[in-house]
Parts: sequence; structure tokens; C-alpha cells
Amino acid sequence: MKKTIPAATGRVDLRLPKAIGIALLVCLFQTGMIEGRAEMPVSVSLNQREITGKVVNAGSSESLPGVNIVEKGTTNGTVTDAKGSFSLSVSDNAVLIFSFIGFVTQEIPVGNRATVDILMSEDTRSLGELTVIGYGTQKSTQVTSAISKVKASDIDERPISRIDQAMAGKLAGVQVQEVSGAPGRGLAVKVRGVGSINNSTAPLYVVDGYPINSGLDNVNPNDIESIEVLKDAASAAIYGSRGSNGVVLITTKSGKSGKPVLQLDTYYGIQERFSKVDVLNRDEYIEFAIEERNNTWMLQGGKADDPNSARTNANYWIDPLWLTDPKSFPDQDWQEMISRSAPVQNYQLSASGANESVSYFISGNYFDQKGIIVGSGYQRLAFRANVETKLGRNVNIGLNLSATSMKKNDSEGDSNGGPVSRSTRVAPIVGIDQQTQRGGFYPYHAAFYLNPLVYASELTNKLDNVNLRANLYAVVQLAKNLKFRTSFGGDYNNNYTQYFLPDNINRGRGHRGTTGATARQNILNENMLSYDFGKEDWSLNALAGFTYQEDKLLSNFLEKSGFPDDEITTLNVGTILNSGTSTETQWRLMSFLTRVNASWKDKYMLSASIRRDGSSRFGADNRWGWFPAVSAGWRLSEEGFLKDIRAVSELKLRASYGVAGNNNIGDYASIGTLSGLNYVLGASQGVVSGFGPGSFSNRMLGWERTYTFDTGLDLGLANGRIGVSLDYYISDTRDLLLNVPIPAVSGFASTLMNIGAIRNSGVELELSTANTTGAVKWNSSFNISHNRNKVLELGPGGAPIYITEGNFTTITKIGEPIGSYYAFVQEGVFKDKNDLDSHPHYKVQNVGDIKYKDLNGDGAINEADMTIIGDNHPRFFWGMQHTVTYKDFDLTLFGDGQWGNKLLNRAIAEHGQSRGNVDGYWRERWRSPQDPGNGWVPRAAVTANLTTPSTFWLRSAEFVRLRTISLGYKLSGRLLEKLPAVSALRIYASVDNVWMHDHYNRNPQTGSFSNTNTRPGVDYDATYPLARTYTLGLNVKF
Amino acid sequence: MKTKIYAVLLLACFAAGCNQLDLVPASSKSVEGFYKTETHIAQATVALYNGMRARWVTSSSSFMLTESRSDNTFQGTAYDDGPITRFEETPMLPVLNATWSMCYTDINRCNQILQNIGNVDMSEEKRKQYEGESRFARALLYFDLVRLFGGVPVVTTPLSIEESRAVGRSGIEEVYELIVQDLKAAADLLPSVHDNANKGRATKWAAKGYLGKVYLFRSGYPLKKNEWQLARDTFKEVIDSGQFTFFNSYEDIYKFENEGGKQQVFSIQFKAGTSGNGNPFPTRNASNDIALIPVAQGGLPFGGSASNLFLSEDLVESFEKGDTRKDVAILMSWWHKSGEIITTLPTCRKYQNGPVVGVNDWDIDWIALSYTDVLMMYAEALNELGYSPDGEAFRILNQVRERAGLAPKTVADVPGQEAYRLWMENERRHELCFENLRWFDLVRTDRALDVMKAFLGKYGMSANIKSRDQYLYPIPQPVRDVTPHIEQNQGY
Repeated sequence: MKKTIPAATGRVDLRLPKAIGIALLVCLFQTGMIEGRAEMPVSVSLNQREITGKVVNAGSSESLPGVNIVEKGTTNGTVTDAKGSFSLSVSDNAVLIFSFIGFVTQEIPVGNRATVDILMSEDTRSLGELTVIGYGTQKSTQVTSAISKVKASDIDERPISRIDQAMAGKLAGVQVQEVSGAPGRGLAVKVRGVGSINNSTAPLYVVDGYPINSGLDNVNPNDIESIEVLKDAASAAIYGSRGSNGVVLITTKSGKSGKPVLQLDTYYGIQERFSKVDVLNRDEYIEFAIEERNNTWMLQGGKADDPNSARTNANYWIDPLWLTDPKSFPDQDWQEMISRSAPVQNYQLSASGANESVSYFISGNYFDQKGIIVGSGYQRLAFRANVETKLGRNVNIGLNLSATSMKKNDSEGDSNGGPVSRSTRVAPIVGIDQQTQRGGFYPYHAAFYLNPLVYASELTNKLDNVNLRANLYAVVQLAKNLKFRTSFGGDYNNNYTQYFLPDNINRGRGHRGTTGATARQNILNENMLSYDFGKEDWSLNALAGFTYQEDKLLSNFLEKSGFPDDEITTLNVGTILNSGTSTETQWRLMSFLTRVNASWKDKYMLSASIRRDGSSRFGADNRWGWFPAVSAGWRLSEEGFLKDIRAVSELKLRASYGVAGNNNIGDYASIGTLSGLNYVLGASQGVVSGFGPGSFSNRMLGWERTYTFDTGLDLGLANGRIGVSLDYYISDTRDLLLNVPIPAVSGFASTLMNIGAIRNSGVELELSTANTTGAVKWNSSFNISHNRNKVLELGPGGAPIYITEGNFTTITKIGEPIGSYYAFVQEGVFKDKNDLDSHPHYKVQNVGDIKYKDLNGDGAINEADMTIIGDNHPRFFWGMQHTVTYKDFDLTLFGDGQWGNKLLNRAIAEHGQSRGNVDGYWRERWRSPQDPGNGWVPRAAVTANLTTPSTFWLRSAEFVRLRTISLGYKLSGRLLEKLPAVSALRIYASVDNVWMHDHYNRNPQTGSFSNTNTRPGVDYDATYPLARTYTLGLNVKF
Repeated sequence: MKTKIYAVLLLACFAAGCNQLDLVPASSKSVEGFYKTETHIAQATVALYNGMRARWVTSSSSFMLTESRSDNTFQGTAYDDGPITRFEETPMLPVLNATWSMCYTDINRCNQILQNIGNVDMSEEKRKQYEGESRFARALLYFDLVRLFGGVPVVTTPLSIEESRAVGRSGIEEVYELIVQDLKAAADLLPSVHDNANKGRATKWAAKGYLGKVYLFRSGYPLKKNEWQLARDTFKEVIDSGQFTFFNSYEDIYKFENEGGKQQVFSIQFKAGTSGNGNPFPTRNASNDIALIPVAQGGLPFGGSASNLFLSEDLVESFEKGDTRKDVAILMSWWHKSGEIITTLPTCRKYQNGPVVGVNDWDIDWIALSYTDVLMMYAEALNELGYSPDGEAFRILNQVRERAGLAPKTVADVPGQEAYRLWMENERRHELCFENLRWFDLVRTDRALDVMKAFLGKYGMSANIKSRDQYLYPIPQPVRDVTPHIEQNQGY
């Protein structure tokens, strides 16, 4: 691990901890190995005076120890101390050269100053900066594929509870959808659009080289050193059959040379509900309900003045008190009642260090987040140890170990029947204990809209998770340039869920309890040979290896009813076993891989890799697949014609092409299975086992393959103050694993086949600028992505895939984005009789009903007038961050947004019914030709207006958000010196989800209600609200 | 040296690994090698009954395309049966395709057994039973399909995907031909009674009962084949078999104590508390808001369902005064959860008795073909063969009426063949309501057009009834998407 490339080349492996590097450099300098020495004149001025100063990292505002300072043209020099300070005797008119690895070298004329304080900026074109790639690292300048990166500095010092949050808005081409605000809930991460129809589009997560299957729940974000996202197939192809959705490489911290560091990071925050849904209040609701029930009753042939006794259904009844004494009802704000301000706190203690033979990073973390909805919360206790030690001269061994325990409470905030949804549906006039079994049901109200507060308080729904991940490795230096690395690791994940629905909120169907447990055992063995070769202008790195991974998932589930009461919620007291089951499933993956990275003069780079994967998931006749990739880069900035143009500090052109796969199908998808189809037979009526084929076997079933062409450029301008990275890609996924509808006469409705293709093409821009560098330093970063999703081919005949559920349909059709919304177009509302008579109707319609557009102009509204009305794929999404530092203060603003996409709330089909409360837009309804409302919302009546899918259901998903404002203060100078044990201390205050402009009353990134690739962006009043969080934090280094 | 060792190790890894990729499911049976043993054939046959149970009782298809279509119910708002009750469905309606697929899935399972049974060692007796059951099941699948969708593709062997793409529609007559052949064969193959272990399986008489019914339907709209004599003779065989008796109390037919009894020619069997084998019918068809108290007190121990049948006022009011069948079938007043007594929203109460363990988990069997139905169809055939004042047809219907506590009808009430037909229609409606028979009755007698037009007229929707084309449902759109050569039914 610790190796230096001869200093003559000027290249130093930056994995080498900085301090050692500096020390070595100083040594080298002193022993005269650095080239510059040859030019040193022998004369030394005699007119000396003493100056002092301090060197500070312009990026982090931390002092820089070990900076090399030389008076130009002499051997006179020194090195900054641990606090970044130096003193030196210099001659008059001296010019000081400040140099430090990874930073831009500066020449400063001393003039007559006695103090010289300088800021040093990191050199973006630094030869040393490394990018983590699959199975290795590469100098950033040499990277020839599309890789985006989040650094530790972006994650540290910000209140982040999960790793996916750290990526949100930070990376071009990586859409991180905050589908729900529920504590601990995973975010939907998509790299370069949706490249699959039926299978997961989540990227592969690799933690310290270990491809994990157990999700991000168990990775403590405080341990992260960097996150690299491999976006194009060329960089991801080395992960073969799992790379097509992109690969997220997570690197955790390791010990750094120098004094051991003990670090405490902690924050405490208060979360408040970010927004509420606009619903009717008591008086508005009563007015609406009377109007709706009368109208609906009249549609059934009744009269508005019919008494309840004449109305055939409770849905048409009117509570007499509504008319006589509406003020006698309460005016509840159910949303307020289920919400609370909730604390979030995080404590991380870590120790790290390294010396010649051992390096270590150990940490413990406790994180506790209460949810802003009653009954929800998330807790995590995490431990990590990354240690490595030298075993003799040529062998290093190490262990990455993490142990996590996590608890989640979820009062079903993301479920349609849950409290969040019901807090908008239960009418404000319902009593605080009503809509429960004990409190009784308000008879003029739908019984299934349960009391949200009682629901949230009395439901038990918790998850306990324990995860243990260990990877033991050894690196053997076989020969001068040849290394062998072997590792053996395991990832063990146990989930235990407990659910108890008391009778009180089960509408009298008795108490019901379930438990479920899953145990995942994943093991990994990797063996890699790598060869590093450098000669003159050539450098070459070659890698070859073999990996084997297997995964077994055991699960069981029990459901019981017949509980005596709701005091004990564990199943032992239940008397009736409703369901009991256990299953086992397994996959294995075996791979061979090889890669060569070559460069000449740091100017021309070529990289080629190939992986061969064999997976148990695929048909016996198609089990092995090849995944090749090739990429090339040309650093024009190293060419003579650009070298002298100072404005351009870096210019690299890149192009890549590669093939990666998606194997996210079921474990035995290629094997047809029998469905259990039991029946009751015999005089004594016993259950007899029956079986019938449930699916076809397909021995040819193979991977989805994504072929990506990517071209990009990296540009550094104005001495690295402006950095631009631009990418264009076309990514075609072919051989889609598609459940192809087949004629049902075959005995099956569909079968899994490799058929169909999708194209994602897009442009990504990442921009970073250092706007000002003086006393006030202002750095900005901006990223924006455009992706166009288009279905190229589908099953035989290209028949579109319709998914219809709850009255609305999504369509996946050739030439259109996957999962587009398919419905009628609303033109308005029939304002009056004239309007009604002059426009065709959809079935039976009347004044006040929704007017649909006659798209084909045939004078009739029917299914032929349904069309694609939008989709959930953003045309653009972006993120922007500004950091301003002044003296010891730093201020960060971070915003993001998306544009050009839609979402659909299927609950709108249920909103217009007074059996529960309705959303605020119903105030603008049509009431009469004289009072037609906003011309968009129809009359209050339960008609096909509600259930006919149309643009009435559609909402814009666009938003612009100021996500974070954070203000930090770093202790320095005398203040810091007063705390001798403390080497650095920063306090900060931040606000998350500061402001948002959107067009949806709920979360515009919604997607928590059983969304799929073919049915994206569908809400069902079922999105846990986002929180605004006020945080105070402290980072101390000892 | 070291290099060599590692190379060897690496090779060892490769060698060990390659066949490790052959994994078979640990928790489900794989189709490879199924239909090879007697056990397999027995299991495959049991699955056919499971299919009938899903199609007729447990799935939503069971009532949506039949009872909901008739004038016995009206659904003003959402749910799949809403458009069906209002005659507003389109080929996209999910329940249509679900039903189509369910039928052909089971037809394939029948065909698989029939194709493979010859290659499996078993006793002649067992072979006859399994073959008979498979043909019985297949006939009833096609019988459902032909009445819902008309001339559907006739498939009698397992098909590959490629073969299945080429299959086109057959004529209605062709479909019926297969049904008749299968039922005739089943009647020959199946035993008259089963031993205790096999009780509940289809018998010769179940096959004959359905065969008579098929003749009856062939004689009605649209084929009008005039097979009344065949129908009469077949029913007569069932009646004369001595296996069945006419109960003296209507209520007793639906009593748990009598399940599997002599009133049932064929029934779907249920067992509560066995995870997925209970009967959902009693609760599903009852009002969502019914109080959770015992049946005897006007509630239900496990509540109703949101997709309950919404009984039409027309049905409720059509019962004659004193008709005891009304109280057995319909709960006119019931306890609402709120504690109020609801008298304006009648709800279905058929089968609400016997053990119940959980939501949708009742023990009581569900009668697919009742003896009363056989008798009434027999009477109908007699009337069609010739009106006979006070003849046997009169006697049978009056027997049914008198059991319901109603006065018998006289020749003066029912002066001719046509009048008898209406009487029969009316009596069947009340005797067999919620048993998914009414809609098909209205279609085969070609009365659906008039009856439904008048019925929907009460809701201002008579314009939704356009023509006899609506006697059949549209071919589901997904079917036509994969096989465009399958033509849509007329009028859609």
C-alpha cells in the first residue's frame, strides 16, 4: 500500500497519507533528489530578516501543516508546523515559493511584510488525485469514462441520515428521488434514466469493494470517505451483469499517517412538517357534503328535498345537524393532530491513525430520528473497524468490519390506508375519538376512513435489523510490479418485523398480528492479480481476477388472529393461525474479469476491460455472458499547442463504449414453477394438495444488456478556478427481460423473454467555480442533467404494455417514454346547457361535468380519444451549491429541482366524494351556470367525472427547492489555542428543506405507493410528508 | 513459486464453481418433470377444482360478469362491476381479461392432463376418474367462455407459444360441440357416487346435470337449436337417479348442516381456518358497514366488504308479499356499525351460516348446480316441448312456490306457453338470486334487451342498452393486442 513512485517523475501515490509524503519530499529535497536543485545558485544574501506566516487550505479553511516554503533561488527554506505556521529568515525582496502536494504552487513576493499569510488552493489538475474505480483506483486525470463523485467534505458536517441523501442533487445524471419523508426510508436512485421495464433500476452498491445486497440501511454515512458513481457502461462493465443501472462505489474512511486523530461529530435537530395538504374546513366540508349528496341522490332519480328515509343508501344521507346546527361540530385539523415536531440526533466518535506497520479507522455511531408523524422513527447504532497491518515485507492484511443495528417504526405513513392519507380524508367534523371501534363511527361518513391519530398511535409496525459485514483481505507483493490481492468476506443481514393491528383500528375484524423474519447470508471471494508498469512515458496497469459470490435468503412469516385483547401484541397469545410460511431462495455468481489501463505521456489514455459472468439465475443454455468495454482519452491540455495557454489548465476529451448487464430478475426466473392450487375434498372435508404450472421454463433466458456510448470532456479554466465536465451518452438496453403477453390460449398470460429495447440518451453538465478567492471565498458547483427515455422495441408485434389499476392506465409504447400516463384530455367543465349541447359527451354527461377533448374530431368521446398525457421522467434535473467562506465562517446554500415531468394522484378519483373530506381545489367547483368555479373542477357529485381517467388527475411534478442553508464557524487562532487538546473545532447551524416552489400539494417526488418502472410517479394520497429540519452541529478533532 | 501456488488455487476455484450455478428452487416445485406420475396427475386434477372455486366464488370475476350484469344489482360508482352494471364497460376493463386468462390457464391444465395421462401408470379406475374430471372441468370452462365472449378459440391440446399465436376464433356452435362431447364423455367416465375420501369430486350426475343445462342453452339464444327434448331427457335421468331430493324448506338449502347433501348436484367445497380454503361469499356480498355482531342479531362476525353486491331496488321490490325466500336471501334491516338500524340498504345474506374463522373464511360450501335448478330447467324444457295446463311443469314450479310460502299459480294465472316462460323467469330470479344465473337466463331467453332497458331506465341510463351485441362482452383488449386476428365482438 505504501509505495512511492520515484520522485523524479513528480508523481506520488496519494493513497499515501499526506504527512508522510511531505516528510519524504522534504527528505528528498534535502538529499538533492529534486530536479530544481540543479539550478540553485550558490550565493546567499547576507541581509536577512525574520518573517512569520500561516498557510491555510483555501477549500476547507483548515491550516496546512507540512507545506514546503523555499526562498526562490536559494536553498533557504522551511516547512509549516502542525498549525500551519512557519517562520523563516529571508533576504530583502525575497520571493517565497509555497508548494504542497495536491495544491497549486504559489510564488509570493515578501516585500516589506513581516507576516505572510497565504491561502493555498487544491490543484484540480493535481497529478495525485485519485478516483475509485471498479476493483481499483485510477488517477483522476487518467479517467476516461463517466464517473461522478461526492467527497467526504460534502457529507461530513451536514446532517445526513442515509447515504442516498448525500447523493441527492449532487451528481449530474444521478436522479435521487426523495419519494417519501419517512425516517429511514430509502430514496429512489436512478443513474441515467430507466433502463429496464420489469426489473429494478437501482444501481449496484459496492462498499469498500464488496457488492452488497442488503441495501444502504446499514451503511453509516459518517464513515464515508467518498462516493463514486460509475455512470457509463465502460466504467460499470467491470461489474458485468450487475452494472447496467450504474454502480455506486462507497469508500469508507481509513487511517491516515500522522498523529492519531480522535474525532467527535454530533448534531441535534428539530424537524417540523414542511407542508400540509389543503383540505376543506368544517363549514366548507358541510356545504360540499350537502351539495354532493343531493346531487348524487338526484342522479339516482331522487329529489333534493327527499328525506333520508327515502334515500336508498347511506351515501346520500344528510345529517340533519348539518342544516340546523353546523357549528355544533368540531373543526378538526387532522393533519396537525398527527404531526409533531420531532428531534433528530447523531453522535459519532472515531479514532484513526497510521504508522509504518498499521493503519486503522474505528468508529461508533448512534443516530436517532423521531418522525414528524406520530408513531414513526428510526434508530441506528453502528460500529466500524477498518484495519490493515503489514505482515513481513511483502504481505499486508486487513479487515473491514461493520456491525449495525437498526430499528424502524412506521405507522404506515406511506400507505393509502395509513394516517397520512386518512388525515386528509377524515372529515373535520368527525369527533376526536370517532372512526374507531371504541369511539364508534360517524354514520354519515365512510367507515373505512379510520381515525388517523388513533391509527398512528395504536398501530405496531416495527422493523429490527442487524447487519454484520466483514471482509478480510491480503495483499501480496509477488514481484516488483506484481500484486495479488485475495479477499474473503460475508454480509449477514437479519430483519425482523412485527406488526399488530388492534381491533380498534381494524373495523371490528379483530386484532391481527404478524411477524416476519428474513436472514440473508452473502459471501464473497475475490482474487485479483494486478501489474503496474511504468517506463519512460508509458504507464500501464493490468488487472485480472476471479470472483465468486453467493447469496441465500431465508424468510418466514406468521399471521395470527384471535388475540384476547391488545395488551400483548406478540403472537404467542393469538389463538388462530391465519398464515404461516417460510421460504428459501439463493443465487450464485461467478466471474472472470480483466482490464488494462494504459497511458502515454499522461496525454493519451486507453482502457479496455472484459468480464465474463455466470449466474444461476439464467437459463441453462444461456448462463454465461460477456461484458466488454473500451474507453479512450486525450488530454489536449498536455499538448504543446495548449500547454502555454494559461487560461486552459485542463482539457480532456473522452469517449467510451461498453456493455453492462442487469440480472435483477427472480432467482429462478428461468425455471417454470408449479403453483400450489389446493382444494377441499372428502366427506370430512380436508385440504388436498393440487398443483398446476404457473410459468414457462425458458432455458434461453439471459441478461438485459445495456450498450452505452459516452463522450465527454473535462475542462479546467483560469488556473483550475473553473471546472467543467460535460457528457453526452446514448444508452440502449436490449434483450429486455420482459414479461411478454402471450396468447392466453397457451395457458399463460405472459412469459419472461429477452425481448425489447429502451434508449436513454442525454446530456450532463457538472460545473464548479471558485468565484472569488480573496478574503471572501465563494465557490459554486452546479450540475444539470437531461435524459430522454424512449422505448425502441417491445414484444412480438410491438404491442404496447398497458397497466391498468384503480381506473387509470399507464402505457409503455414504442417511441414514447416508459410508463407514460394514458387518459383523456380535459378541456374544461360544461358550464351551461349551451356548452353541453355544443360538445360531444363521454357516455351520459350533464352540465357541471368534465368536458373531454375530442382528439380525433369524430364528434364522439370514446376510448379512441385517450392519449398520452405526460410522464414522470424529468426533462431536466439539477442541483446547485454555493459555499462562501469568510475568515472562520462558512455559509452553504444548496438547492435542487426538476422540470418537465408529471405525476398522477390516483386518489383524485376518490376525492370528490363527501364520504370523507376533499382537497381544497374542490372550493373552485362548478356550482351553477352562474357560479361555474374555475372552469376546471366539476360539480360536487359522485359521477364518472371522478373515475374517468383524464388530465384532471394529472399534476406537474416540477419543483425548485432551496434544500439546505448551513452556517458554520471554525474555531481558530487564540480561541483554539485555549483548548490544547483540540486540534480543530467547528460548530454549525443548518436548515434543511428551507423553501420549495411546486405545483403539487404533497411531495412532488412522490413514488412511495407501489410504483414500478411501468407505473412511475403515482401517488395515492400516500406520501409521508417532508420535514424541515433545524440542526445545530459540532465537529471536534482531538 | 508463490505465483504457481496461486495459479493452482485459482484454477481450483474455477473448477469447483462451474456446476455450482445449477440451482433449483428450494421453495417451489418446478414444472420440469411434472405430469409424469400418478401423484402428479392426481395433484393436477385437484388444481382443476381450485380453478372452479376461483372462477365461480373466490375471485371478483365470479360475480362481476354475471350477477352484477343483471337487474339484481346496481352499482352507481367505482369498482370494476360499476361499468358492467351500467353497460359502460370497454375492452380495457381488467376483469374481462382476468376472466379470459383464468379460463384458458385452466383449460391448458385440463389439456395437459388429458395429453399426459396415457403415459402414466395407474389403475383403470383412476384413469377414468381423472380423465372424466378433466373433461368435466374443461367443458364448464368453455361453457363460461362461450356465454361471456361467444365463439372463443377452441384449444384441446397444450400449445407452444408459437402455436398459440396462430389460434383464431371458433364459432359458437363449435365451442358448444366440444362442451357437449366433453360432458358426455365425463358422464360415461365418472362414477355415480364417490367414496368418503373423494366426496366432493364431480360425479356422473353432475356431468349429466350440466349437459342438460348446455342443451337448454343451445336451445335458447343465439343458437336456438331446439334441443328441448334432449334437455328434458337428460334432466330426467338426473331426477330419476334417486341421488337427490327436493327440500321442503328453502332456508335449509343454504344451511351449513346440509352442505354436500341431497339438494346439491355439484358444489364448491370450503373449509374454514385452513389458510385460503374458506368461503368469502357470505361476507363479501354483505354490506361494508354491517355491524360486527353475530348473524342472528343482524350483523356479521367479521364485517362485510367494500365490493359487496349493491342490491337493486327492483329486485327487492319484485318479491311477492309473503315470499319467504326474500328473508333467506336478503337482509332488509341490519345493524350499522354506528349502532343504528339500517332499513334502506338491503344487503345479501345468503350462505351466512356455519363456522367462520376470519374475514372471508367461512366453512360453508357453495352450490354450483342445485337440484332445484335442475328441476326448474326440466320444467322449462317441458313447457318448451308443449304447454300443458296444470302439467308437470306447473307442478314443479308450484312446488317451488309453495315451499316459498306462496300460493300456487293456476292455469288462469298462466294461460299459455309464453306466460309460463315469464313465470319461470320470475321464479328463477327469486329462487336463485345472487347465484350468478340471472344474466345468462335473460340472455338465453333473449329477454335481456327489454328487461335491462327498463331496468337502467330507472337510473336514466336506458340509452346504454343499445343492441343484442351487448349480450356478449367485448373480447379483452390485451387478447387482441397479442393476437390481432381475433376479431372483436360486434358492437364494441
